[in-house]
Amino acid sequence: MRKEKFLPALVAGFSLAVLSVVPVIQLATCCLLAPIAGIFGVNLFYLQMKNNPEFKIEKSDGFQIGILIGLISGFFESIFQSLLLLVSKDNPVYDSIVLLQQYVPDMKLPEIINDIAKEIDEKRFSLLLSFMLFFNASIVNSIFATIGALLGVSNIKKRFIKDSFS
Amino acid sequence: MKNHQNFTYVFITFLLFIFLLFTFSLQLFPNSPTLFFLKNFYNKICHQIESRCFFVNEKPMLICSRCSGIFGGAFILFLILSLSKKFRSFLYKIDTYKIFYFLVPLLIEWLINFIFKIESTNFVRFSTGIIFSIVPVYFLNLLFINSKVKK
Repeated sequence: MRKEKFLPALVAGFSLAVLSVVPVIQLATCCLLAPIAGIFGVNLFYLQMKNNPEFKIEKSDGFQIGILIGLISGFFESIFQSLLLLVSKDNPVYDSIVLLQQYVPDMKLPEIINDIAKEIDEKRFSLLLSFMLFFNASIVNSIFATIGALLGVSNIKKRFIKDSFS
Repeated sequence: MKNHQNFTYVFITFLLFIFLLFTFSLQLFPNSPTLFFLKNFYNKICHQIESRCFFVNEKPMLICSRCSGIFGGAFILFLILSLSKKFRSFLYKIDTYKIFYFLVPLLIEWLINFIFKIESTNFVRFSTGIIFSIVPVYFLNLLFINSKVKK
């Protein structure tokens, strides 16, 4: 993987992570903002590289940038969510447990979940919860950002073909 | 190459099927310890507001009715795409700008909901979701379609 891909992915991924913790906007994170971040990242990469005469953008570039955006946004999103948890009084784990037990009263919860809830009550931070947030965000954002990035690549290719014929 | 393209369509259909199957986790695996993790995973994709979810067996699905429509519609369309090459080329030939017409019902419904504060029903949300599902499937089809099928 070329190091030139890291900077566009970092910019797009960080922007996606920031927007994903903003109320209301966060509702559109996965299905709208992640593909837009993918398109944005690929276009940044293209702008950065287009002065190089040997450069040719490929689908694999889009794939790599999309995955990178997903991982970077997942990393920053988990940090932002943990910071928000640190300054809030809520316990999202307890809220989820209560909601689930409403429908499945005799649900067998793994001990680890109760540990996370207790940890949040005591320290306002849980490494396991942060990891879970990172895991979820990375997977979902990687999928949607990759779709966006691949679309961005095909759009750039189309533009390139049009320019070379005109 | 041809088999590779077919495999992509079948693989995405399979992924969508698994995704939809796990939205029934509360009904299918009520005693599973993984329920908490699944609910949190789907929470990243959908708001999961109870009043906007379909209830099966008196338990809500893990995604809202609109998302059910979008992902359900995408699953059905990908199932057809993996079976019919004619449908792939038909979808490919639709003008890119015209495909955004399928976004209009969802936008109208969202505007009525958000601006005029008039609540729609889950059936309407599901229907607009199904109509909207053509948009992402169209763009995915553009990415995966075989150059031979385009003609």
